Amino acid sequence: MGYPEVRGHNDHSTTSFTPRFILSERLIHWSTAVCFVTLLLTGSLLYFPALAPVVGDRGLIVEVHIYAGFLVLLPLVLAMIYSPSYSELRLRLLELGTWSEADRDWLKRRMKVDGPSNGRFNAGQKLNGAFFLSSLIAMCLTGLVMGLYIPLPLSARQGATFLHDIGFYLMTIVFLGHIFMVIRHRGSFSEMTFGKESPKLEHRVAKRQ
Amino acid sequence: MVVGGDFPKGLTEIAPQSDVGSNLARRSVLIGLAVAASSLFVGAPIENLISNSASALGAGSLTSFLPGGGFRYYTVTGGYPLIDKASYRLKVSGLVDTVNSYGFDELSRLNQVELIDDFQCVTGWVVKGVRWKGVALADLIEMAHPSKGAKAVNFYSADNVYSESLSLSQVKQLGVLVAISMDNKPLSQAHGGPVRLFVPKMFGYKSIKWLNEIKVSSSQVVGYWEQNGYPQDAYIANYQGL
Repeated sequence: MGYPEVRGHNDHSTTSFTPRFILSERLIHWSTAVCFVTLLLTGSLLYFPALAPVVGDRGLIVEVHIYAGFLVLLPLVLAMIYSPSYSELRLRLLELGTWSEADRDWLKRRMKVDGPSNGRFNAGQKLNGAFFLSSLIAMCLTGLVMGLYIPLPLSARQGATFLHDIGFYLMTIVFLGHIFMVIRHRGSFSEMTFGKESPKLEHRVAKRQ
Repeated sequence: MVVGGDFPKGLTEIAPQSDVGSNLARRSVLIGLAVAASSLFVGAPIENLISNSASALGAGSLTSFLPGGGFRYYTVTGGYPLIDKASYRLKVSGLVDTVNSYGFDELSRLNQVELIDDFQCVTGWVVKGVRWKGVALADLIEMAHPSKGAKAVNFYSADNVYSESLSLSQVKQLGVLVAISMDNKPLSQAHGGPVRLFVPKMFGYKSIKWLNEIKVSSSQVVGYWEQNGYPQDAYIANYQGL
């Protein structure tokens, strides 16, 4: 009831199967994820006094952190630059990055409908994506100020460092939330990894219809 | 519908949304840019406000748990040199009449000076009101009797890589400490213990860690970070950007 008919693969009468996430989407997700986790781990090693002595070669960790920082948004940026206007990938990315009335409504009666509000994503998932996009941009820029010794007043460097610290805490919290949601919705991991929905989720979707 | 027929299934509903809804992706990019840019202007005042109000409430130790509070630990080699306090010797040599060498206990029996100062890193982080205790560097140099051509003091770390320097007049003016204690605790290994330098009014990179040799000289060595472009005159007040 009221469930948008946008999941092509739920239409069992057709033979065409559209995975929830196509290969290019999954590649973008996982390459970004690898960079992000690398940043989180190397950042923790550099930041926490208790972890710092564990590191053998701090210089190497710093370099890994900086390179991962340069790479983390690259897959998404390349996809947005090189995917043609109406290609499947571009439309799929735009779907995640488009806020609609339905999303606002979903947010208002949050959690009552446990599924996509309009298309493949619900408002929470879209906000998750938006949060990571915003904060990765902010982290990359403040990281540049910190790491490349850009000639700026000292207070600006202090401010950038402060935001980078806060960003670290916020992103860690939201990232753990993301992991929590993956655990709660078992099928989502295989959707993002293999492109298929798990039988469990399909069963759930079928039951709802 | 704006778009044609061979559209991937499940996506036909999406494209026209851009005219009903606002573009979340574009907004996210702008927010990210705006937050990063504004942090350059308001980040430092906010951080100072937080740490000041925390210490005003008597929760000074709390600031080390706040984002941005506390030290970052740097080393330019793999890991921290482990120095045995019992066998540690601090050598004072170079252009002096008397070459001296002090064990840790001998240092702690010398006249101790205490001072409270912020520890300001050139990369932007700062730890407010750190309590340092140790021997005045000027005393150690005085006891070695610098010879005529002495103009500079060079410092060498037990990591065998890091070095720093000050002019002899800076040593006298600034009240530089050969520190053996920080915030009423012995210096930890990560903080450069058992003995490090603390140079007030200058950036942290001057305050060499794991100090094991002080050499009076006719000229200043170019320190580790100074070889990488940091100014040799590291006065925080004179900072012009790197």
